[in-house]
Amino acid sequence: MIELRNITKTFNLENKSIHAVNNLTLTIPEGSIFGVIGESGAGKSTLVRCINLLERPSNGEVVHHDVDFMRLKPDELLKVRKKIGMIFQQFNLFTSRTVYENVAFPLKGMKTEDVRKKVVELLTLVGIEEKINAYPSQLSGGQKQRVAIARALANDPDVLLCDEATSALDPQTTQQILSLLNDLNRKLGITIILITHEMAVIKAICTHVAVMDGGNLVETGKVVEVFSEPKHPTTKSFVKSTHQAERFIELLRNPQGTFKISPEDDILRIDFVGSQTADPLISHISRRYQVDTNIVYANIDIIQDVPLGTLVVILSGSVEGRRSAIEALRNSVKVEVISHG
Amino acid sequence: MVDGVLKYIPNLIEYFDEFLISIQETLIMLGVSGFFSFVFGLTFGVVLVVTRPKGILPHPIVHEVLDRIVNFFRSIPFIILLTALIPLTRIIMGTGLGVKGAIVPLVFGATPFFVRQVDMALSNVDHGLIEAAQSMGATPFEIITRVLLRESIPSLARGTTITLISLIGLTAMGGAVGGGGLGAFVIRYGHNRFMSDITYVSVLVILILVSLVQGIGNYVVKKTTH
Repeated sequence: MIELRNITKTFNLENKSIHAVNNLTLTIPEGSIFGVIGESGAGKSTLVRCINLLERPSNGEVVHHDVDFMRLKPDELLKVRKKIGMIFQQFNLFTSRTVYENVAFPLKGMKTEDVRKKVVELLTLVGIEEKINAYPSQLSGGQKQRVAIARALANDPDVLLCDEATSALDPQTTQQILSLLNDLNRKLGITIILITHEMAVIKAICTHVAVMDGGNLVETGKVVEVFSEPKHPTTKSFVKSTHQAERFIELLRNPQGTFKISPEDDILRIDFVGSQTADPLISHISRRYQVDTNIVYANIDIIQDVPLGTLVVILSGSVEGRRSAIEALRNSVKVEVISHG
Repeated sequence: MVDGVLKYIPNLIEYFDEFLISIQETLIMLGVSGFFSFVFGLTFGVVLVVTRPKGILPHPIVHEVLDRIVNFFRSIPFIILLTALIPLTRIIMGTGLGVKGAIVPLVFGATPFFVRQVDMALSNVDHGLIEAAQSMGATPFEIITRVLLRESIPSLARGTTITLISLIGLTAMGGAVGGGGLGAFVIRYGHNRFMSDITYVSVLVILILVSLVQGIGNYVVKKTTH
């Protein structure tokens, strides 16, 4: 478990000071894949550097395994850093060193044959053992990031910090690197802290998420919870970015739009999580209350193996029937009435 | 054939022994002052880079002082440096004349130049690499040796080549104020006594020397760039 307590990082520029991180408190559970999302300039990169003290917080505590990093002597801090791996957007491999030498870099002081064994083991783990003698310039972006991951894992860390680790990669490679991180999390039990500006990354592998805006933590929790019920406007806009329900509803509302809605119809947005399945429910209310339900939009996201669904339906029938149907729906799923007929 | 060539260089043949000694002196001046300029230049260059406000061991006073000293010595024309340093040279080397007398001003002339080359080479190392090394728990000393210097070997090789070549020029200039080497040889005979053949052949030797240094430099750069 990593606890960040009242972390503040202030940068003093010539004529003003900037609070990159503002009195932020956060608990990162052991073994989780913890995503930190925010727009550029939200302070997330600074925050992640505050964990291994690459940026020393102006104030606050960074506690891991009951040790406050802020109180460590310089040489103790260097030892602690060996147990916290870090990977970067630009990979940061040493261009003058081969893949082998890059991964061996943090293994200084070990016997050559032990280093060799460890490097081969790590490269096999990340699936790039055949490039052991290549130079970074001969590798693709995804391969470079694999090498960087192997290097970050060299000292068997229990935490891996990822600073926009997939932002320089194409979508397909991003998926591969994310699933590698997911595997590592399961196999090694390593806690992964992942900084990103893409909701898709959070959706793909994170168990927990923290949303940052202007140096502040605006929302945090399990991804499924934050996703299904976003509270803060910033979170909402991130959630919105991943599916098109909102855009679709705007289209419905547009009188000149493609959809001709009878003034007697209700438009509903239904959100459901996990085992609440909407389909039998809808056919059930159709029969029971004599209303026609026309599903005009449907989307299901799978987050941490939990399905998260959104439906937009048009309800037509008698006024009484429609009202009862909506009430019945509200008993089991989240219903938002977009327009009343 | 050989006689045909020799016909054009009568003076050189006459002073051939002195010519060989001059080449040797040039090489000694180049080697000794090159070595010290490299060591001092590298040391001061590293100090200058790491003590920068955003460097790995920030120290504003050391940085500022060193920066000004380097600028000061870089702005003095070498010919003035040669004469101005004579008292200091006497203290260090015991003489202000000849090869020995030339070495101190040569080191003073070439070191600041090389410091700037080192400064430029090390400053071009991607900050991300330093950050990566820090995240792996590397000490500042390890970052200097295993990241900064190691990563900038090609640029350092380039800087060394440029510095050595300008040092060859400076050794020749040293001849003007009683130093030794090819410069003095050319002034003594080629210039003062109008023996042009001596001038031409000496220039040819210097040209070969420069090409050799450049060739080796290019080879090192090529071999160390990945």
